[in-house]
Amino acid sequence: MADTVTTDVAVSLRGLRKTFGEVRAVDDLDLHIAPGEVVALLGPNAAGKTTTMEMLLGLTTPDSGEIELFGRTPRRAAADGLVGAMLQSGGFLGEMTSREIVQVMAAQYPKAMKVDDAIARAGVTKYAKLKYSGLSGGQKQRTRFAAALVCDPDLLVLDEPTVAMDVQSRQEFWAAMREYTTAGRTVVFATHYLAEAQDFADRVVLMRHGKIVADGSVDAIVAKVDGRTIRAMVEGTSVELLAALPGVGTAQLRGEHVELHCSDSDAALRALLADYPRARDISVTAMSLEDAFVALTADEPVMEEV
Amino acid sequence: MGTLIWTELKVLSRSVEFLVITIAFPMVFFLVMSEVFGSDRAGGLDMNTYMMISMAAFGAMSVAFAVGPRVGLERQAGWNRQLRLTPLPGWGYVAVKITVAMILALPAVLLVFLSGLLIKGIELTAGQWLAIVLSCWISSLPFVVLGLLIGMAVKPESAQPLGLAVYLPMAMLGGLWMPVDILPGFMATLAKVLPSYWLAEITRDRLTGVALDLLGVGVLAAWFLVALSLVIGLYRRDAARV
Repeated sequence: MADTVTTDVAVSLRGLRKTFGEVRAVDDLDLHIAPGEVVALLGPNAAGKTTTMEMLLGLTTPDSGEIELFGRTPRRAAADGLVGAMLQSGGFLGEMTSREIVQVMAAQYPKAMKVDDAIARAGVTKYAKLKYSGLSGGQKQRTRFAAALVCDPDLLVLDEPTVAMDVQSRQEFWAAMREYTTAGRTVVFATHYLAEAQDFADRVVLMRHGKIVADGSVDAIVAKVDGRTIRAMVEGTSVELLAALPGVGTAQLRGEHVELHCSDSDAALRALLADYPRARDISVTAMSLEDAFVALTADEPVMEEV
Repeated sequence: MGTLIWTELKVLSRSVEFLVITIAFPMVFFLVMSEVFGSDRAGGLDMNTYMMISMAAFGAMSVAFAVGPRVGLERQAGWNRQLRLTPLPGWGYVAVKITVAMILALPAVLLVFLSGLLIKGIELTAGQWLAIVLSCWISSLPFVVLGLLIGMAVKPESAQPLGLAVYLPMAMLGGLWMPVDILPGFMATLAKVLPSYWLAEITRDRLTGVALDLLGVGVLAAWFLVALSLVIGLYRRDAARV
């Protein structure tokens, strides 16, 4: 139904806030997603990814802020059949078969896909007649995918879609997704797997403590934290001093344990030894994508490169 | 909505326990109870007919209190959350739940009446049979919504026990197990505010030629409306959660 949608913004979140008790789950978040973009929401647990998605879908009411999907309210967009979602909190009844679940979902929409098409695309055909309660974690996830897909949505929202899948299921899942997004659909997905974000997303949004800490293409994000990591034991220093060393991107300090994520580790190491001749247990390692993720989303104390 | 109703009926009909315990037990109770009371008369009817209507009413209640609380399981599984992402409106979800329970109440009622006709040889005109089926079935609406209310109000673990705790006393005090006339006076008075009493009484009146009791209709309607508004309130609370 992509032809019925004529707005140039698929998702628009402005000044979104949500507090649970003392915890600011989402803190003044702004995010705009263009139609056709495939966006990965990355972040550690409790970064606010799920809350953001639930507000985006209209399942959770924000304390303040505005949400528009294709220029309408989330509820309106859902009623118009523009949105499909796989949620962590949404679930199906164990007594229904996968096929019945997809059938029921399809029946709610005026213009749904054929049930068997959705089932085939999601790779559910083989176990479509089994009860949902008897399926493996990965099979359940794929059934949920079929149910999200069957309304032929313009926007797919997936909260950790591959969480219970083994490596092969995961690959098959993304292959199916890729096929779907070539038609210009917008996808927002949350994941813990950096490789998935790297392989699949056009754009990565990194969240921490309910805020966006980095937003850009995968290459840009990786470049931002590309480099090596220096680890050492250093006495009498501070995060600010360490972060100010040449070649250092971000610095972390726990007791005397220093971790420097560096864009130029040679310069950084020379400077470190010059300033702190008593530094010991020094190691220099290439930064993995995991390190980059940690560097960008780690808890205090962290100094960001400007 | 049609597909959702049909699927829920299919799922429930796969459960043999549900079919036997909920739908067939009232018929068994009727066959036993009518033997217990033998050839007495009550409320202007012979005891067989009297108990047949009581047990048909009990059957409709059993279904209502077995189906409604299942909503608790759906809330726990997140099924209603998933449905809220579809164009299905909130009132549509509530209407589906009521329709499913009403459809399932019908066979429970019919089984009791059929056993009355075929096993007990109760003779009524076709018009009378139709009148008691319709009366018993339509009057079970408040119970269907009460069952739903229980499913919406409490955790799924407590929904079934709470359902029992509501419907067994309600059946007994409403005179479904023994005629209200043989209960102590204050209990007979209490019975008149219970929907269970009127469910059976209004249906029996179809056979004794008594005009439709407006007090009874009022009591049934009041229970229905109060329960329905509470269900809608709780549904909204669920939707606005977190």
